[in-house]
Amino acid sequence: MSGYPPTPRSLVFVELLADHKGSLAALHWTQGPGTAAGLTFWLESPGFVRLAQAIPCLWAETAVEAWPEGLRECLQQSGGATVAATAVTQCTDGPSHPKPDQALWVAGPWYLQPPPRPSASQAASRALVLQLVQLVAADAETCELEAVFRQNATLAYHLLRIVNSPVFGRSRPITSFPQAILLLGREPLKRWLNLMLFATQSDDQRSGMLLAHVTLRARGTELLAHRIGLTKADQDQAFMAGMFSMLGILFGLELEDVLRPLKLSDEMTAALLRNEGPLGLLLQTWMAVEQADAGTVTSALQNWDLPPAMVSEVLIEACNWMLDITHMAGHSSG
Amino acid sequence: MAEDQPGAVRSTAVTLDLAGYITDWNEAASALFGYSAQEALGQHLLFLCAPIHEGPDFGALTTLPPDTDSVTFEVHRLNKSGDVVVTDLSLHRIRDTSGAAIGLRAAYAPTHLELSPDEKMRLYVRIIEDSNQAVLVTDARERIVMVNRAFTRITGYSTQEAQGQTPDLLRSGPNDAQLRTQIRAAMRASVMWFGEIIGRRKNGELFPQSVSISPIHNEHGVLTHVFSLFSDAGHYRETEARLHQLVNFDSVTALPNRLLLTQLLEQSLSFARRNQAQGALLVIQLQRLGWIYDTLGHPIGDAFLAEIGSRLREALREQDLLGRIGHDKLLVGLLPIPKQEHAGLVAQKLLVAVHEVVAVGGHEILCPATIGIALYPDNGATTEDLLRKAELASHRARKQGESLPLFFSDDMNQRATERFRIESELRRALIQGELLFHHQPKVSLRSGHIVGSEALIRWQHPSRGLTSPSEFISVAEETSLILDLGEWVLNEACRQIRSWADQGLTMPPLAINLSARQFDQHLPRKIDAILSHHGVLPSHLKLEITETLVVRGADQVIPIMNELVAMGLGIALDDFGTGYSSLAYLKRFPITTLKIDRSFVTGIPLELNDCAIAQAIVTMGQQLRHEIVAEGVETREQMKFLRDLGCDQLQGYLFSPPVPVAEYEQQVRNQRRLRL
Repeated sequence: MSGYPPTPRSLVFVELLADHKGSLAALHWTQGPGTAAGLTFWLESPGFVRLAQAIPCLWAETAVEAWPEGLRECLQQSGGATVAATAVTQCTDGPSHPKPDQALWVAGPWYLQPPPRPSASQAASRALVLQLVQLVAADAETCELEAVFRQNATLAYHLLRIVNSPVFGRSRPITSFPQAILLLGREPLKRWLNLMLFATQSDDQRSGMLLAHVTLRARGTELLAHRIGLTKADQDQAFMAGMFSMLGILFGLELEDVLRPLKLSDEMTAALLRNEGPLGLLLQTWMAVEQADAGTVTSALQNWDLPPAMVSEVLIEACNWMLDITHMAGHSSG
Repeated sequence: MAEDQPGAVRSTAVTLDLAGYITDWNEAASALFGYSAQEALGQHLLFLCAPIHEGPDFGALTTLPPDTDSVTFEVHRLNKSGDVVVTDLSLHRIRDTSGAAIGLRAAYAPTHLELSPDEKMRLYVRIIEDSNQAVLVTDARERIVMVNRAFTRITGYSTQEAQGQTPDLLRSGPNDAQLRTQIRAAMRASVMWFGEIIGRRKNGELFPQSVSISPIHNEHGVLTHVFSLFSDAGHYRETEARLHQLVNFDSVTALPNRLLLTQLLEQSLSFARRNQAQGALLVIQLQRLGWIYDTLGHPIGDAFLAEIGSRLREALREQDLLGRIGHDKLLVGLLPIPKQEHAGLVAQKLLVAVHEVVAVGGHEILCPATIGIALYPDNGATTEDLLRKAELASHRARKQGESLPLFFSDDMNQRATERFRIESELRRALIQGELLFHHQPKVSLRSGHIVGSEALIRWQHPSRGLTSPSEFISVAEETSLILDLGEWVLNEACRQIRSWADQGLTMPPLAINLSARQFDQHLPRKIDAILSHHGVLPSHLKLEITETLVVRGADQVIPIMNELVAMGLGIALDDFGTGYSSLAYLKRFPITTLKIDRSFVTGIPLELNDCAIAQAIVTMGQQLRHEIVAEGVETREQMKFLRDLGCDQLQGYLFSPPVPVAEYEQQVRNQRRLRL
């Protein structure tokens, strides 16, 4: 991230596409209201080019056909591609795999269906727990541990839950991951991670698509907070709100029940359960971005004195980060 | 398993979910740990862990192959009464019918601590044989039947030589008969006898021994044996000498310390007084000693200091006094000297000695020093007075960057008096409420909105009016007043935040500056108490500390910073860019914010160096996900440059100078914004 990239002029939205095995395989972009010509420098931006190198960045063939010649060339040069409507299959039912299909790409909310066994004690990613065990053994800095917790909602949830369990219980709410890591202390953290390592035999039980969705939402909400000029502390809260808003779906339980053992601030609880307050508004806006709801997005951004198309730039940065941490991009995080 | 056998005690079994929370807790677990099922259910298994454990504990789990379903290892756990329970812990993975892991089972089998008679005997023999105290056992007829190795070491008699003899073997003098009577009486009365007596070694040498003598009776109460334990009290005499050394001499340089040196100076001064002689006191201050210790480590720092001590000793006359009176301060007493000018010459000679490179552990160290001189009888007649004035002169030399020795002068005294006046007035100001805050807003470079403020201390002086901190903070820093001032700042900030909340005002967080002196291990607890007292959430208060503070003593400062962050407080690094932090170094600090020092902002956008530094700081901060605040922003050009760089916030006259609280509140109420 460097400075202030010029604000795009067109609002775009993205949908995550899976392959027939259910793994994240492509990003499907659509344009909000406005002229297509405004997309030129968005497509040319280094962030988009980097993204298009990491994962297929697709536009509907029918939409692109209506674009001016210059813009079509631009899409091609930046590494983007077009996709025929027939190549994308919509899938709504889950629970853990899209329907076996010969379709190249699978769209739809199939991965948001409840897991086979609802539980808030699901094991987290073994690979990440192992990474944390190694970092702690090497006496890594708090910020390095934080970077791993930010990658996985289940791990982050368990961290806050253990810090809030009676043995470590503190009277004030936890507002950031570094705070939780430092509150727990290195020795208990080490023991906890070792126990998690034993408990976590297999890797993530939920679909990679769901984890990608959570990651994108967390980072997107955080970046939105940054763009509207909130402080670092508020940006951290926005990230946490984005991440924790998906816990109900992740565990297949009521979000209120999942959040109960965590000592979150009143603002955070209001945002997560009732979409209230400044954090709630951020979350609501990002969910409107996920649903390609141009009306809601436009009015929210205008209320913050920001051009709605700012979302397009945020989406590129959030998608790049999501890919970096899901190791699809194979290049260092930005 | 034992629990399946009728009548057997059930083993301790605890069931956990995959996150480690207890879902089942049996009676045997209650019996072992003292917690009822009600108390234990829902707790995380870690609640049983002792704060400090021995052995790998859960660390034993790291090396297991991922498909291991069962493992046993020894752990130390705490029961409800706080006692440590040493037990074997067996962890098993529980699977459902499809083979998926659904939970864990933890079974505890306490390790047996009872010793077998054989083990006991083996241990007793070893304990007696390896004891540092001599053991001597006699039978009822006072014949020696057993001695240990320490006996032989202390007395020189082997077991064979001692066995069959009486303890008279060690008797040394005419009081022995009386002693023997006393001891026999004690044995008859079945009480232990304890005392210090003089013994005689095999080589005839006398030695003091601390001895305890106890009777042993059989089951019928008949005295069968007597055993004596004694040590060579001569060692204690050596310890006493060592203690004397520790109390009076500096352990690093072996020079007299402040205590001894003051006594020696008193003697020399009274001699000078009687003989109407002249003299001088020289305070030598080593300027980079702290840095040497921090960067090269203590062994090198100590070796360096010892070398400086011996160089100084060599450069002085035998009758001159030299000692270490502080971490980086040495004191020289030249008493008497034939002419006062000699003090300056000696000081120059000492500076030359100190300024020569010292080679230690492969390093070549150069350490500048300053010397302040006070003359007897011109500058004072007592050790205390002369020492104070020599220190004052050394302090001044240091401040002026003086490379020559500096003699104490009256204007130094005047300034010291002025400082003393400020100090006492400041004490009064604290009590009488003459201090207040001015607030300087910080604005977002994204939205232009106020996102925080820094509270800056001001002194409403009854006669001199509003006084800025530059006129009094340095005085406070030199005394313990800075601690009182720091506490006032913390309290006042929390009181202000509370008052805003009580008025229903939604104000952004308030930042305060912490001084290096405040930054000790008690700080987190102190802040916690103040926050609780005012009912303020940590997220409303921000702490600013200077980069130089953290760089100087990172190892001491980081644990304190960690505690503060664990409490939920955000920490900003102030004056960033002036303390030579590297990216690798910066990573260690749990900070949220970097404040670019105003000295770099001034030259922006024309000075290329300043621009490059600002750019480097922003890049560094972004990599570590820190918030970047630019201080001292005065022009729109500076603002524009910093904004394009990716700086998050600015603080400075471009938006607002520090203003009284009412004005600041007005700015927030009116949602005043910076035009971007």
